[in-house]
Order: sequence, then C-alpha cells, then structure tokens
Amino acid sequence: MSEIPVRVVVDLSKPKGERETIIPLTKAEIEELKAQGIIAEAERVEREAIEAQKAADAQAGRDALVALGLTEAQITALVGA
Amino acid sequence: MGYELIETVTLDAGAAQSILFQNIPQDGLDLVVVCSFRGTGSAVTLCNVVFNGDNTNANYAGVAAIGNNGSANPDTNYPRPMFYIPDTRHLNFSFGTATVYISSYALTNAQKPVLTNGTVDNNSSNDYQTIHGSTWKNNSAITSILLPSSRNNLAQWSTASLYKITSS
Repeated sequence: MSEIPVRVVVDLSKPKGERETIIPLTKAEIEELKAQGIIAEAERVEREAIEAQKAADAQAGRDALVALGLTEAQITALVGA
Repeated sequence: MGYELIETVTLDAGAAQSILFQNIPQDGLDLVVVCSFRGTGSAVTLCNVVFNGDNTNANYAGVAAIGNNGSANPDTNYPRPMFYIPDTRHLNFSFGTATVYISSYALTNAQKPVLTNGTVDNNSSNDYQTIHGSTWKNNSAITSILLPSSRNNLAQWSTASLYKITSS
C-alpha cells in the first residue's frame, strides 16, 4: 500500500448525516495490519498443504485397495465417496 | 422483538482499511452487523472483529468451521469473531456477505457470545465459508465495533449495517 490506509469512523452519538469521518491509521495500526496479513497468508498455505496431503493419502489408499482386487463400488461402500 | 437499523455505512468515497462503529446506543438487547465486503488485496483476506478496541486474542475464545471447496476444518486459530472477504482473485464485482450476531451487548455483568457467518464466491481455489462461534471474555458493555480488513483495504462500495434487536 503506497497510500496511508484510512478508517471510516461512524460516531453514533452524532445526528445522522454528521456521523462519518475518515481518519488515517496510526503507524502501530499499520504494522498490526501487515502482521495480520502475513499470518493469514501463512495459515492459508498451511491449510492448503494439509488438504493436498489428505487428498493424496486418500487416493493412495484407494489405489492400494484396487491393487488388492476390490472394485470401485466396493471401495466406495467401504470408505465412502 | 424488533429489528431496528442503527446505521448503514457504504464506502462510496473510496476504499478504506476498516469501518468503526463507535458510541453504540445501549438501549438494545442484541446487535447484528451485516457486511457486504470486498478486499483490494490479491491474497486471502479476512475480517477479525474487534470490540471496544480490544484486539488481544487471549481476551476472546472462539472456534471456526472453515470450508474451502467443499472441505471443512475446525480451526481454533481465530479467537476473535472472523469471516473471509473476497479478494481480487475472485470474480469482478463480487462481494462477500457476513453476519455478526452479538448477544446481550449492553450488559455489564456478562461475557458476550458472538455468532458469525460468512461466505465468498467460488473462484475454484478459494471460496472460504465460515461459521464462527466466540465469546468476548469481558463483562463490559460493547460500545464500539471495528471491522478491519487483514490485508490492504475494503474495496469501494463495501457496506456495513448495524442493527439492534429491541424488546418491542
């Protein structure tokens, strides 16, 4: 972000039409924002890696059952779709 | 029971990182925040709600059921009420929707249970849906609610509406 991010503040103690003001974030708030973004991205990557591993494990399990001679219908009945 | 609009804010002047409702009237039973948000970032973005300026995660207890392309995971990494916001990888002009329900917000002798639901459109790889249950472990009345974007800004035309549930 090149521009200073802003916050829209809605002061509900004021009459309608006079409630909104736009204020720039403080340096500390900007730093927290950056940290949250980094954490969220790391969590997304981790979650997607876990999902990919689960899918790979499930497919490997099905392949092993096929190798043992089970049909797809039997495998689905056994472990689900 | 009534459902009364306190205020609606639309970012019609341009993007902003967050929306803050402050000096919330204390004459309701519960509060409901309805959000229609889109982010300006290009990666996963979420909104972690903050009550009364308290962004210390340890002061909240929460668990999320997070769905992504049909799979769901319980996740305790988000103590604060949270929901995802579509980013620039999602469909153009697509806004996510979320509802935050806060019980007994004006009480000064009870913690505050919160239920949050949210969803964004499916862009094949990121279509996060969330159901999040949490408690703000504080007996204070809620007088302000901050709705921040975790990455970049809330896009222009994002909207948040604050309602109160009344007894009549």
